[in-house]
Amino acid sequence: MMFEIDKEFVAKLKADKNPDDFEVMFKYYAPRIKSLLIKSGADHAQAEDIMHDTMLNIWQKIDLYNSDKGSFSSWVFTIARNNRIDLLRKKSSQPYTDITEIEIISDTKDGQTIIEEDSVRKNLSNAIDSLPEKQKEIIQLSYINDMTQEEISKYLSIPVGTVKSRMRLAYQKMKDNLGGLII
Amino acid sequence: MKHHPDPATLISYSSGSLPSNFSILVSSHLEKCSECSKNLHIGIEMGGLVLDKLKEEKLSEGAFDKFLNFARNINHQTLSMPKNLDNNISNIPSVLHHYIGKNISDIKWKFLAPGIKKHEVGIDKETNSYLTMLKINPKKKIPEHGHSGNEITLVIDGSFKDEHGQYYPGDISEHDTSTHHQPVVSSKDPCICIIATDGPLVFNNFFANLFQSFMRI
Repeated sequence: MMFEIDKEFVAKLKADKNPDDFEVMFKYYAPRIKSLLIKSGADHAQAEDIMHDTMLNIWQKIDLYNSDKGSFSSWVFTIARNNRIDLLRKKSSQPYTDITEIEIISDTKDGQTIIEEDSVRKNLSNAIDSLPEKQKEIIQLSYINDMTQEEISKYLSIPVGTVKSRMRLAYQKMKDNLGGLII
Repeated sequence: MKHHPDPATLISYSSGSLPSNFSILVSSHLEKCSECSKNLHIGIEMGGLVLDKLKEEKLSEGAFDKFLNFARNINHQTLSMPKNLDNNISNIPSVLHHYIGKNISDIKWKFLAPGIKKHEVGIDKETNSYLTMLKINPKKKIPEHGHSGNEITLVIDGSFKDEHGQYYPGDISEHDTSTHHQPVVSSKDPCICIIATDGPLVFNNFFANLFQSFMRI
């Protein structure tokens, strides 16, 4: 599906809460979230459950989304990320995993404002596309496959220090493209 | 604040792939550091872009209709409040309250070595990950050591210094297998910090190493 969720569409979705608009949003994000979860090790049923939870969070919290604080896709990613961590917590015996959620960007909290969202998105999208393949690969393994730095190191047979330095380079490139636009 | 998480750590945190004991300390730092909160946006926006570029996975038949039926029956009043709005005046970051309480005076310390007390917050033996608090007396030196894995330290009270600088409450000190250091408490009161590790420290001194194998830090 090539439809792109833009700022105007999200504003309309937030204002009207029309199920037809929500369906458009659902059809764009739900298959991507399911894909994200499967690539990070969930089976189809788990992936669909977490996708469902993420969509429910969006349905319930759409009023908290503030486009001045970040893109809608990054907001959706944050919710999916938090739900993915929650799934892992339930699957593991780790004693301290329930407070690592990133607070979702909302209207209710003071914070930075990202100005000119469209230009930010365009700059960042270009920046991520133009990353050297080795840096892009590390970003994908971290964000999509949910691999720790150590797991990436083993998977690619490179030192952890190299994983970190590639992450730093990618981050710096993103920062160069976004840094001045966060106020 | 002068000492912040490594950008690579912020990337892993943003993606959700940073192990949880380290994530807790990064969350604690972010609560107090506006500069890193700003930089976190970069990592989060990267997540949004990655999501946009993902190939779609086919959903089960009627997924949206099932979702809509379910969602319509959910009360919209189930919104939860954002976490960090409780006017936290404790010097313990609020993300840590669940584990160690709001007051340093309530922490149950155990003797570790002369001038050093320890409180174990969490252990996951499966991944060898530890979250430990230390209370170290003024001027006390930790023997020079390296690391067999990663280590993130967050200062909660007091201060310490090492070869890399001086660390105050909220500061992060980050080390891995490539670094050695010898922290020494620089505040007139004890330094209280919380440390996440995924491998034991490696002391340069034989007796310190022997001690380490018994005391597990």
